[in-house]
Amino acid sequence: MVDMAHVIEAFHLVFAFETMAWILLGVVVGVGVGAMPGLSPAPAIALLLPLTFTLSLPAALGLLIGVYKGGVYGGAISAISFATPGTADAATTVFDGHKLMQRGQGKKALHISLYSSVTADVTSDIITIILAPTLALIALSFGPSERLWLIVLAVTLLGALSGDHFAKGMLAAAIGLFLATIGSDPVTMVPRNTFGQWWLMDGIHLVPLIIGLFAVATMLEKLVELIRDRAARSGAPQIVPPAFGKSGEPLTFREYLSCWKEMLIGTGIGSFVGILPGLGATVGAFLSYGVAKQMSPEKNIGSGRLEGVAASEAGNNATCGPTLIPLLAFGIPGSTIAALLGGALAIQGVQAGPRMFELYPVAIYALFIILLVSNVFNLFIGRFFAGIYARLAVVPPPLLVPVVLIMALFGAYAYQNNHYDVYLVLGFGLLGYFMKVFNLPVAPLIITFILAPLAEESLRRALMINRGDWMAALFTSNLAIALAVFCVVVTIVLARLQVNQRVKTLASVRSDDGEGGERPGPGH
Amino acid sequence: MSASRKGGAMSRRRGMSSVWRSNRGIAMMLLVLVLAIGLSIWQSDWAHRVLRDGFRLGGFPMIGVGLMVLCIGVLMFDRRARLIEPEVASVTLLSVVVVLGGLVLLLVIFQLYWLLGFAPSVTLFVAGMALALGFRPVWIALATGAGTALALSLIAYLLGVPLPHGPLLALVNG
Repeated sequence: MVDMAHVIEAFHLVFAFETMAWILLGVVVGVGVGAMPGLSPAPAIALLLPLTFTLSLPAALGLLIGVYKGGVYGGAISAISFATPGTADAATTVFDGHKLMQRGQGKKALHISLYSSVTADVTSDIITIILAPTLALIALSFGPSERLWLIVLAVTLLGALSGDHFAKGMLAAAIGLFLATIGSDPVTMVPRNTFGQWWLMDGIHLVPLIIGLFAVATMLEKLVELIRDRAARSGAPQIVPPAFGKSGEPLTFREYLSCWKEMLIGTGIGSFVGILPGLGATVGAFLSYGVAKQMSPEKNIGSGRLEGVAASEAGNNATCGPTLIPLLAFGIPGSTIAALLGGALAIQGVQAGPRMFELYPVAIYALFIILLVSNVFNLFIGRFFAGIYARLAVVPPPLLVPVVLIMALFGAYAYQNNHYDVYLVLGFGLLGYFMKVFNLPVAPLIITFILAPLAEESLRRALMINRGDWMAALFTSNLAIALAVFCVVVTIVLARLQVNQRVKTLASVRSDDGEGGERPGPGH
Repeated sequence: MSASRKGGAMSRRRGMSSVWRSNRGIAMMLLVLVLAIGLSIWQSDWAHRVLRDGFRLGGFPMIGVGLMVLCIGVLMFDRRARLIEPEVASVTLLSVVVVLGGLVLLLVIFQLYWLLGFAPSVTLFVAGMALALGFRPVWIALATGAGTALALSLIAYLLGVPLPHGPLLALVNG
């Protein structure tokens, strides 16, 4: 039952000047990060996460959600302007968007990308607001045994659907589990697995892990590319196209409405993909684009059509809200971004999960309002400042790499003023680079790292309740048995069918001439 | 004769290299590392300590090691075991040196915070690396470095994070 007093309090918190300013800053930074090829929302959120511990909860959430939503949209700006998607999520936007730009209809392409992004985002946020509390009610009836199997199921799905090799996904999850055991036993607080290092007794914190795995590893990869590909540096600088001037023809309301079918497809597919663990905005965009193309062959999507841009952008932005559903309803992050937002909540002393609706109702309502409000800022920033962001896409990587690396070092140190966090960041940067080279997905590692203590606690609590009887502890109810059977079936089916590869094949519907596009990277 | 022998040796070397670059080769190297970790845990006293709830302290770390070994085992023998990932194939000695060198450089810069102070170290790193990577003109690299140092110092001030000023500032202040 919704308590209006809590809702009103949440409105007051969100519409306070401080929170609004942080949401705006988040969107401003996010669109920029999205527009710059080589950067994506996850490393940006990783870099900003340590800075949120001094902010209030709504301000911290506003900043990070703003970066996320802005980042997912921002990729379209460079995709349309330069045929270089700022993020992998916008790879399919290149197919039609850049052709429209070449035909002098760049302004229309930018407008439809913005409007379809915001339309799908708002709709999927409403789905999130309705679905999350409903599922949380169900989750509240779960005991430790059911919770354990749910975690195992989520990790299995993540391992199977992230990356393109089931064993590699599961190996990443196992590494995450092992790293989570470093520190102290979660039940008795006795130190363990510290390799004799006293500074590891407190365990590994999420912030150095994600800064290392995302920001440092991504920049190391970029650094190697720069050194290897010296010829690229001597290339002529890209020029911001004239579509950003006042002369371009804007999108009409009729043209916006003509894309309703593609926006609907994008919203539906994107929302569904967003809820599933291990997929993400890239798969959402590719699937929506592929389905829209197959459902309307007469529209000739791929030849520079507004409908193609609408399907792609609606597909990726519609994943933004629903990706939080597993986190809020079950306390299980289904994507890296959800894990990072869960980390931000943890820094603020709030444990994400079904009990959050009981214990922190104001925080939940504030989060829902922020999800919706950030779309308004996205609309404003995208509508009036796309030209400025297009200039960011031409920031030379030799300037970008050292700045991001030094920000990573600063973020690691600022988190706890601790030297060891910096050393951990560098170590995880190396691990992240190795994982990129060996195609090990990062999402299962991060999410298992977060879920492992919860799984251990659930197992040991179930054992204590059942006086050490393993069978009774693991299969205490019909639901636990059903979840366990489902886990086994999912593992066998996904391992045998390599479903993730099939999803990718289905999703990889490219334009007829196969222009542009990055390889989709699910789970990121 | 000697040329063909040299060619044979090179192809053997390439063959060896491709074995180590395949999923199976990398999995074998990982297996050695993970087994060493597992062995060190097994030989530790803490791992066998029984807790109040009857659980062994080393139980969950060993589950982690066991799962890693299982996944590595699958990687070594599944149908993609001989596959060489394109990214792995493109790894050269240069890329390894660049990655390790980059990390060492970051470590050195972090130590320089206490010697030179935060702002000069950051300016030096950003401008120096941008120039080393071929960015020109010099003044923009220097301005970006100084701007980054200024922005981060401002954030640190707002967040109340104490940053090392180094002896340079002390000298300036007399």
